[in-house]
Amino acid sequence: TRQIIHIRAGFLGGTPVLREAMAEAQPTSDTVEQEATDQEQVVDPWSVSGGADGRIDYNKLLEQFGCSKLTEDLVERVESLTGRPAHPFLKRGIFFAHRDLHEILDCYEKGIPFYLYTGRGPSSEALHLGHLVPFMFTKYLQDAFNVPLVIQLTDDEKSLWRGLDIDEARRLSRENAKDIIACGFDASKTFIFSDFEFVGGAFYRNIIRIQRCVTMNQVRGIFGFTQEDNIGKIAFPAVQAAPSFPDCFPHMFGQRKDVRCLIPCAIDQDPYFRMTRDVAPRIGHQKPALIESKFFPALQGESGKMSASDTNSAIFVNDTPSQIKDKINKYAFSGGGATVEEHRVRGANLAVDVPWKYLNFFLEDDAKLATIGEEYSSGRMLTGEIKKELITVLTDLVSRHQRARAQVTDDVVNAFMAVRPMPCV
Amino acid sequence: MALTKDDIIAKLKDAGISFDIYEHPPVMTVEAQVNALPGNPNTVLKNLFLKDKKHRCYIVTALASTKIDIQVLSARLGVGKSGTRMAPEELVTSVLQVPLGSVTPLAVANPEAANVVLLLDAKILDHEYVSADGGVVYVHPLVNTTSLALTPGALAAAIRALGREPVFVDLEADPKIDQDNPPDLKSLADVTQPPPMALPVAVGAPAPAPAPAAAAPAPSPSPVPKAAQAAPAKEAKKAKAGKGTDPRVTAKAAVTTASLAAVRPRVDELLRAACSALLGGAALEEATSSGRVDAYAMARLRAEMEMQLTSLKNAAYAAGYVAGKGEVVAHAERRYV
Repeated sequence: TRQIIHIRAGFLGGTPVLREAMAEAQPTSDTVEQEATDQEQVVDPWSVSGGADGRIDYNKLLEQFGCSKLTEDLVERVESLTGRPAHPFLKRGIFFAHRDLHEILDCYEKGIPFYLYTGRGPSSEALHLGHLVPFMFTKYLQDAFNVPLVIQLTDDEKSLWRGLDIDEARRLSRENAKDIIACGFDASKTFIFSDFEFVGGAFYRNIIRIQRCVTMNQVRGIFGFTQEDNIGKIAFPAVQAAPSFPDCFPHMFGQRKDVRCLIPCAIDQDPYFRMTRDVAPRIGHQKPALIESKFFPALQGESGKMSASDTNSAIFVNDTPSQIKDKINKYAFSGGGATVEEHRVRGANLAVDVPWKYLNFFLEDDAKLATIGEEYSSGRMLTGEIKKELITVLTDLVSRHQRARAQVTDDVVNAFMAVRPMPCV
Repeated sequence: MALTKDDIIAKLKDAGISFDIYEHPPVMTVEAQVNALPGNPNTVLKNLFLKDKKHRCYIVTALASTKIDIQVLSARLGVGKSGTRMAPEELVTSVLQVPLGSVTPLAVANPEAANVVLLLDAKILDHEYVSADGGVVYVHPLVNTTSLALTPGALAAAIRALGREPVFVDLEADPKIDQDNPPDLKSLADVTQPPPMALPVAVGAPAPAPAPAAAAPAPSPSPVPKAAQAAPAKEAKKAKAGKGTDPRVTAKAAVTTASLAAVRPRVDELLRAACSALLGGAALEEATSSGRVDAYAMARLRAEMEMQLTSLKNAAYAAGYVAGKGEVVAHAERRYV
């Protein structure tokens, strides 16, 4: 089956989840989209859907994009270098692809510093668990490797694409920053910035250097821009490419250009960063490395569509325990049998079962997860029971996040966002 | 790299040392070890891990009944009465490469411990204390879930097999030390160097990570703000200037702003203290392995602690940032002039 991959012109501007088409934002690529039939896998920022069986073929995606599989020996190398067990996302192949991760690890071994770069498009206050996944993984990377981190809040992007009121976008940046900080980043090594507040100086100079190297044709090829798109959109990709280069942050890295950058992101961002990697050597910079994740399934399953506006498609970080319980019980797509009898005989189909998938993300205990997998796939455990396990795990996670967020004051946000001396290397 | 229990047992067997092996639950104290062994023998050896003010390290292995006065021993080693203390816990893992509670004379087998001086209690060789007729003493083979029973002769042979000449010392002696009577153990101390991991952190370098794996050769790129770099330099100078300086001053130089702000080690400490207090002295690892605490509940507790400490740390950082800003603004305004 033919795959059509449209690249989102909003790196981190969306979520690494399967979402509804943003029809109003995309006048382009209509002809190309029409060619996509139900049989074909389509991965673009606005509608991600699987192939004939509704599921994404990640190996195909990998091949198509030309990135590398994150193999077990790489995971082991990470474990031995960091001296601690790898994060479940790594062990379980949720972060499954990479570019140049070997080089980053070589650098780490030799004492050549690297930093992490990730971000969010602050489009609404409602974050869901899928939004948290990359931040949870980035926190693990920061702790394990003890490295600095920059987090970009692309409020400018949201104003350009969604027509969001600029002051509202700035406000949302700060609100989202609180949820991000609640994930547990290290204030002394983490710089959170909003484009509207920070772009300028060394950062802007790098934006121009990047813009000089990319033609209209190229961005049209990658992002599908047309003559009708506003010039902000067309120029914007350089704003998201720039944080890959350390001299954008003189308060952290001075003038250094040898500090490497590792970007945790979702796989659909890969073509975007190909542009960045192409440009890098032409402007005397190192190529950023990538570590890429699969998509986070909607409650309704991988063939379902998740959106921030449909509250029943996801678990949100401000859901109450009873909302979590309800959503999982009512909406989480089950791979279990249609009846108890059928289930006892056939067992559950783990490949499509959403509670099982969610546990793979959030249940840290490997042994317990394996047991649940055996019991549920054999039919000994019922859907209600696996849902109960998931509800416990999610309730603890979400409640802890809420309590952490409640402790993030404006002063704390200001400190994370201050352009203060942060000797990082 | 660090030897495992199986490595050391294999080494001793290859050298023809004969011993019995007893497996038991982890024991953190001599008392627990005695209770865990059949017959509750009184020849279980106690081990002290000491560090002197010149950062040299010592394992003192003795019968449980032998009274050891660290101050007397310290004077005999030539560093003065208060020149020696129990080594900080992180050196047990970083220098001896054994987990806490597993200090043993056999740790001299580990390459990192090459500079550690081993002092054995002369009473081990005294038939009044250890029977000549097959009497055995007990030591850990690098882990506290096993004890090896060896005759004193076998123990001495074992130490030789590990590349050391066993030194037996009368640990209870309290000889007079003055102009005419130099410290009798000084020569033992003077032949050795401080183990690298026991040295205080040099100014500007990151604090040594006491990771049990100790595999990464490169220094971790941890940010050590200039302020923290200045402080250890001052402390080190003070240490040099004073005579008979308190070892705690030089030990503090190893603490940096970055190491103080690390959340994970504090969570470990808190959990250890909580287990000890709430579960009647149980070790952290025991709490879940013995089933007394549900593994998920423990993991949730750990995550909770991490969250709270990180939150506290960020709030403190933010407050510091406000204070720093204020200082600059006040200075520009000449507010307090």
